[in-house]
Amino acid sequence: MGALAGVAAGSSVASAGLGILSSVMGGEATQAADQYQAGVLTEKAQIGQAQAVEVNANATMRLNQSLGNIDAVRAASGDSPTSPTTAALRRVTTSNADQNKAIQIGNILSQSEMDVAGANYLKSAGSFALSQSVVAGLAGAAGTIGKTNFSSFGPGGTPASSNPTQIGALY
Amino acid sequence: MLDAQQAAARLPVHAGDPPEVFVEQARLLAWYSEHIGRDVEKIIAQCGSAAEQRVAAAAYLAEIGSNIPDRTIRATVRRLAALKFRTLGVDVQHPIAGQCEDVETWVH
Repeated sequence: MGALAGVAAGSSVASAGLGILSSVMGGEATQAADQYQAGVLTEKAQIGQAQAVEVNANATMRLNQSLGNIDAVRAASGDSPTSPTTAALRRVTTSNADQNKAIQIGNILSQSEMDVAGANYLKSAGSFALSQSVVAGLAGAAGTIGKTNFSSFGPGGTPASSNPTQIGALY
Repeated sequence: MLDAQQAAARLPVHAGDPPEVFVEQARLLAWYSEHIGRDVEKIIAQCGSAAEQRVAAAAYLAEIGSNIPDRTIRATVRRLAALKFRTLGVDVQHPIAGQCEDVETWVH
């Protein structure tokens, strides 16, 4: 009995040890998976950032040109973009005006995006309709061909004049 | 990144500007729109899952336009980029906090 109890106790301890080991290994696997996922996300963030940096770099010349033109227009209309007086006078209304304009521009851009999406939809719908019409045309032609009495054609066929229901038989 | 003094010294485009200023701004935004559209498609193609797309989009939005000294144009460019992502199904309503200025102007 004592020996059996010892074996049972030993196996119980071993089982507990295996359970702990399994738990630790499971935790390590989860940690490794999380680390991998974090690495993937970091890589993707770097891709996004790199794209934006590239655009920023490419935009420099275009941006300077636009800002130069804006300054020139302002100067022609008597405004100095860096004048403290101008800044003080405009600061009060700038915030509200900017907000309103941002909303308006956003609406215009949203509409533009919707227009593009609509155009793409119509384009694909048009192609679909065209393909459907081709299929319908083929189906109709097949039906007509299927109903044609080929035995009426050629020298061995029934003369058209013997069938009064056939088009042209009476004329 | 944008020089703070450079940005502070410059008045943003505002409602009192002559119409030609807005025409110039629109031209610049059209340039950005074309490039951003290409970038967004490229990013989405390179990111398999929605989580990856969100992370890449947030990083893109945090960086794009950071060299524009005019804060009105900068905010509009970011808004445009966010719109492009949203149009293609990427949820960019929750950008990484603290990484993107002018967030209030393009997040609803």
